[in-house]
Amino acid sequence: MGGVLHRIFFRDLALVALAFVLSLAAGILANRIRPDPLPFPYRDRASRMKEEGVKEPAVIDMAAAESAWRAGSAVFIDARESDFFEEGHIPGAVNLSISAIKNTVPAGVFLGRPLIVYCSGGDCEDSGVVARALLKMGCRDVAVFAGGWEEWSAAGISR
Amino acid sequence: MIARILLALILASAGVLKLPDPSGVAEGMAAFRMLPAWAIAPLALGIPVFEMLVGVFLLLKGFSRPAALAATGLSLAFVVLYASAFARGLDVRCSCFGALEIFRVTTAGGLARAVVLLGLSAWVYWRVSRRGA
Repeated sequence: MGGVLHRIFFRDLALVALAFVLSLAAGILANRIRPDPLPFPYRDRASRMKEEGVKEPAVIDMAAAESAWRAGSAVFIDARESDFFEEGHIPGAVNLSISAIKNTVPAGVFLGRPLIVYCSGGDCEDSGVVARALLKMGCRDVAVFAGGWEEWSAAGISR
Repeated sequence: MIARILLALILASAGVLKLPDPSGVAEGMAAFRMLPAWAIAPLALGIPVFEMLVGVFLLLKGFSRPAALAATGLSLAFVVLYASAFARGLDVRCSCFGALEIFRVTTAGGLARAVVLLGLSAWVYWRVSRRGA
């Protein structure tokens, strides 16, 4: 009985593996006729922008971010998704996540103003992607605050 | 029967909705920071097709058992990916249902959804295995 069940299970597993391989093959073949095929190997947006020669944003630390915030000399852009933004953000920051910037170009109000982009902190990459996208759109003075929300909220800064 | 139809609908719709946006799917997969770069494009292109196949085969007599096994394996993979992302504090918004914003939930929400899907898939697999479908 156990042997039969094992045989059935492994036969099912073989069918699943075959269907999976055929699905991959079908997906890859269909990609060849797409007008905008997915590149092989996959490169994230940050890498593609680097390849396209998009300027690298400057990286600033907590002291520089705080000083710009106190002076009101830059617009802070929060690159996290909206519900994280709503839970807490740097006072005065504007929410512009990767998914938002993919669909809509921000209004021209950002052009010509120094921008400081941040995300969660640590090794989050969204701030870099959004900063490069803004540079590509014509914003000239864009910096990434690497410490992000994690460092800012831990510092307990208030005016 | 109802659980099997529900699972089939979830998987087939997830596959259909992802098909037009492979770069969104690839970005979502890359956000987990677990998969090697060479695997992301083939998986982003193949998984929607696989989900559609599994959804259709779940409804076909004689194929529902292997299809339920596939659904269980797929859901288990989602649970592992989300649990790992959650443990590392990553903000992952997978395009599990294509560009539909309503389904772009937080990492914790995605993990909960994957666990429910795993439970549903395992339940369907157990049921159809017992029946010998």
